[in-house]
Amino acid sequence: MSLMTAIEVGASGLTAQRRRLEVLVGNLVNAGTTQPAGAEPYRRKDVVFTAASPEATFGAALEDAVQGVEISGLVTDRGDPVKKHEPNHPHADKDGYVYYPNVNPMEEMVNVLSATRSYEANLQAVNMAKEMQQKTLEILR
Amino acid sequence: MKLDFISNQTLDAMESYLSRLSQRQQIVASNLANIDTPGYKTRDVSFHATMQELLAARSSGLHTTRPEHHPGLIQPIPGAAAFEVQGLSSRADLNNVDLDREMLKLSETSFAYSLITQLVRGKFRTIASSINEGRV
Repeated sequence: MSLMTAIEVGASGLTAQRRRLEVLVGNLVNAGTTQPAGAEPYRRKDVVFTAASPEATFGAALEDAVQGVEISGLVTDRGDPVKKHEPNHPHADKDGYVYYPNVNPMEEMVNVLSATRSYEANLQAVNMAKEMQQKTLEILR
Repeated sequence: MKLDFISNQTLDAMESYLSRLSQRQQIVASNLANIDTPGYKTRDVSFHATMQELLAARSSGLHTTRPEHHPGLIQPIPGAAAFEVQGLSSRADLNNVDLDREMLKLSETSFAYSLITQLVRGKFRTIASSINEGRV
């Protein structure tokens, strides 16, 4: 049933956005973590999305057109850590600097919002497909 | 006079419209799933067949008794092929999925779908009515 493909595709979007949200929240919670001097501080991470064909079979004309989404990779932001002069901090180096992660909480919040909206949009698509299937069943009534 | 209720052109047309709408639903779901995929381009299926296509696809029109009569153009829409939608502005990652456009298409598709299913039900009710000699 072709509307099943729509639900499957929507579900792939839901999964992908949820994983993205997990990674973004990971960035947020680590925004203030520090490492002992010499160790690499936390670096912000992000996901890379790629279009992927759903598993179900469907019409030949639409074979390439209907695509779900999957996470093809987790990338680490190579941006420089934020250097702060805090000589009394237990993780300060010999010059008194502490290296904080390259996470900007504002930026992460915006990304979290974007992921939430995309999640909602996919949810809407799944609900509409369900509704259409329900309508099909109502023909029989 | 031949009364062919069950296989009937209107039903065929409605069936093909429903299947086209479900294809559109899949495409919109695909666009929404890939709203954050770099390089993804918005896709859609066509609903507007040209007059030429309709005339070419016509197998059995309405019965005509005079040459001036029009055979009618109620028939299945010819085969669908998805295409990339032109004229949408791309973001920096070359993705051009517009959330508002997709949400609009989603409601449009769902509305048209429930409209056609109502019509199909009506068609079947008509048949049921004739079977029951007019008693509903």
